[in-house]
Amino acid sequence: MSNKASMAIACALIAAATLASTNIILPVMAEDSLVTILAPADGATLAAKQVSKLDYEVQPSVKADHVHLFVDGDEVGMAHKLKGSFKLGPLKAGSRKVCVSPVNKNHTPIGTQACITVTVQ
Amino acid sequence: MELENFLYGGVQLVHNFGAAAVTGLPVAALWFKPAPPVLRKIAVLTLFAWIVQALSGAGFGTVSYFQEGELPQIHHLALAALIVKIACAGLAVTLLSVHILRGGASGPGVALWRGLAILGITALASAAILRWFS
Repeated sequence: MSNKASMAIACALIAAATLASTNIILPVMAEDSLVTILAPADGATLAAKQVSKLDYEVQPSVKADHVHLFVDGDEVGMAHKLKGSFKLGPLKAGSRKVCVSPVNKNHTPIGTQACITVTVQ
Repeated sequence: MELENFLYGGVQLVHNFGAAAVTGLPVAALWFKPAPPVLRKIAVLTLFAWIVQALSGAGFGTVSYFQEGELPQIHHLALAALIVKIACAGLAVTLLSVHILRGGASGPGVALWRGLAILGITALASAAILRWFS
């Protein structure tokens, strides 16, 4: 391969990457939450040192690819089913904020996450 | 949604070819042992491929930010994999830039090509972890 050809290929690749990542992207507003936590209920009391089950359901949407599970802001799980369950815990005693966040294929949140607060005793 | 998929797809396309180049070019240099002037050209191509990798990698986050208003949720193992990828790119660009700027007529030696191959393979393996963990 000639030096000119090598340079042309390299420049074309860089130009494509730059164009794709900067110029033609349009900003959009975040949508409403697409996910519902079915159980446990907000404000529920869970037993410490025990595994609970968290049921969730993502509203039908072409954008959501999978969901992330957070406890007190720390990601503790990921599931590729749009309706299913997580094993939750065992959790430390106290008040815990549990959130499920629907995300796209690039792990980017779509809309607002669904959160509940549970008391662990 | 179609625009978002188109943008992610475009970035992924560039990133995939970049991944193939940063791994394949050093392996080809070691395997075929071409003449020194050709090795130098391969080194230049490999440098451009790593720069493309860095730009397109940043492109994933850029698309997320402008399309969804947020960056990807990456934690724990995936975050470690991302840091490894960035470190590989930074090291490879540094090594190749230093070699090219020194202006030798011959290309990199076997040791540098082996190092570049290891960096490419490591980055490629980390990409799999980054894709399937978060």
